[in-house]
This record gives sequence, structure tokens and C-alpha cells, in this order.
Amino acid sequence: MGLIALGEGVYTVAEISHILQPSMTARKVHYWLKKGILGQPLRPTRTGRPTLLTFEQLLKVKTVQHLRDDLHFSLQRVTLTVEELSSWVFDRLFAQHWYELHFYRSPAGAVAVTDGVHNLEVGTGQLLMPNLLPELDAFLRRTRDDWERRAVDIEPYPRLISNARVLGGAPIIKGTRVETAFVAHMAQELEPREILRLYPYIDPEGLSQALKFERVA
Amino acid sequence: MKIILDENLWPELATALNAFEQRYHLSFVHINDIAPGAQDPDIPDICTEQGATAIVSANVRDFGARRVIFEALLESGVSVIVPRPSKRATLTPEVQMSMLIRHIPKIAAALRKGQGQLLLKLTEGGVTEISLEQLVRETG
Repeated sequence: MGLIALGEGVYTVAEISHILQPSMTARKVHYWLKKGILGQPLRPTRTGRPTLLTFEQLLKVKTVQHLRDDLHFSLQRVTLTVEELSSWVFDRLFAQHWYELHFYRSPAGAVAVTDGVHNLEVGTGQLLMPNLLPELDAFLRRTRDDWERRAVDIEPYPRLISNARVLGGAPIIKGTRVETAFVAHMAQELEPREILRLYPYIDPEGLSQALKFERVA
Repeated sequence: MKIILDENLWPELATALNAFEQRYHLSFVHINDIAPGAQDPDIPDICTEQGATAIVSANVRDFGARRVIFEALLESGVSVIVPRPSKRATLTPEVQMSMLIRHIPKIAAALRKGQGQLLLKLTEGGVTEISLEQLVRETG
């Protein structure tokens, strides 16, 4: 039996940081892997063989980044608190049954999150913008939707997607099996209008976004 | 014998290659003509419905991750043909066509001779049966 079944999606660290550009770097992903925040990789790093991660781990990377950026943890607290918060959130976010997660401000002024039964309070060490907490709730709901549909939109490119069920999650133009990396590769030799003429199922906007995403345009 | 061309490949390629169908008893169908935007788990069934034994999959990056998909396809009974042009070449439709047309007889022979599912590396120079490990080592 291979590492995964068809449709489960598999990502190198470089690919994850590419999909979550511009804020993500391979270094951050490796750091969080080392800290155990993302769980065990599908295949650990070995000489000549890239570390491989699952679709769920792609979503974990995106979530950790979001929590870390939005909650503005102080440097002293960031590692331990993010680890604790991520672990608590992941146990619910990727469970069989969806827990409606809700962030709020505790009476002591800390950030807290609840699944309706259990609560977790985390000290960020920073002042919070009040509008951030509903936004975090919405982010977690979107992430849960992504987990269920096994696909994540590539921001800020609405015509691009990483769908775990198509080419193992390689970034593609939506509705096709055409990789953004492949059109960027062809664009070394062909003008965009030639690619569109040769591949009628690629739409101009999809191609334009693919080339921007691959930094060719 | 039939081979499916995945969507990264030029859609007119199947028509061009099918000009040689009688000669080599090998036909091609582009996946966009039968199942556009198909999902990976559907590929083995699409191959069965089409009577196809192999898929040509042209990728240019992250072979470490694609290798796992090739592995899953091989396990599900589909042979995989991977074009690997020289480092200087771009897989434009002309290069795709020239590599496949030049080596149709070798591809047909390898698929006929092979037992079970094969991973075939297609280069300008020829067709080689290769292991997944070798493919990753060569491509990074």
C-alpha cells in the first residue's frame, strides 16, 4: 500500500509555502513541524527525499499562521500559546462532527475560545482589536468548509485552487487539471495568447492569474 | 491498446498521434474530451471505461508529491508515462508531440511486454521503465 490513496492530496513543504504565499515560508513550516504543532508528516525529511504533508496539514499551517497573525501574540508567549491553542482548535476543527467554535474575550481580558461545552483561555500578552474575534470565528468556519470539500482557494486568485482530489493538490486553474506550474513552464516559450489558442479549455483570467501566481506575468 | 493524455498535454495531441493508430495498434484519447476536470480517484474508472492501460502525465514541479500520486495510480492498475525532456527543453505542444511520435513504437512495445503496471519515463532519447524512487532522485 502506498503513502496515500488517490484523492487524499499530498504536498511538499515548498508547495505549501507556495500555495499560502506571500506570508508563508518553508522555514516556518519546518519550524512548526519540529515543534509538533502540525503532527507527524506523511513522510519525514531524508536526504534527497522531500518531507511530505497531508491536505489537513496544509490547513493546519494556514490556521496557525492566521491565529498567530490575528491574535498578535507577544514574542514571549507565541510558541507555547500557539501550540496550546492550535492543538485545542485542531482537535475540534478536523473532528468527524463540526463543533461551532467561537472566540470571545474572557472577563479577565484574555482571549478565549469555546466549542459550546469546553473553553480554553489564552493570554496573548497584547491588546486585541475587538473586530478580530468574529473574523476568527468566520475563518475557522471557512477552514472547516475547506476540510470538508478537500480544497483550498489560492488567495488572492479566485480562478486558482488546490484541490486534494485533483493532481494530488497541485495548484491548478479551477475546473481543469491544468497546473499553474505547467502553464508557467510553457510561458517560457509561448505567448499567453498562444497558450489560450492551443488550450481552449483554459480561460484568459485563469491563465493570467496562474502566471501572476507563478510570478511569470 | 489505448492511452489517456492528461490535461496538461496539448488537446490536439491525441488527434495527431491517432494518425499512427493502424500502424502501431495504439490509440490516444485526451482526458478533456471524455472527462474534463476529472478527479484523481476517477482516473482508474475512466481508464477502465475507455479500455486504456496507461495515462501520460506531464508535470514540471514537485515530483516528490506527484510521485505519491503516480504510486497510487500504479496500485489502482494504471500504468503511468512521464515525459521528461532535457533540462533546456520546454514541454511545448511541439516538444510533447515530437517526443511521443518518435517513441510510439517503444511505448507500445513496453506496454505489451510489461507485466503489471509500469512507470515509463519518456525522454527525447527513448522510453525507459523506471522505479518511483529513481524518478524522484532524478527530478528532485
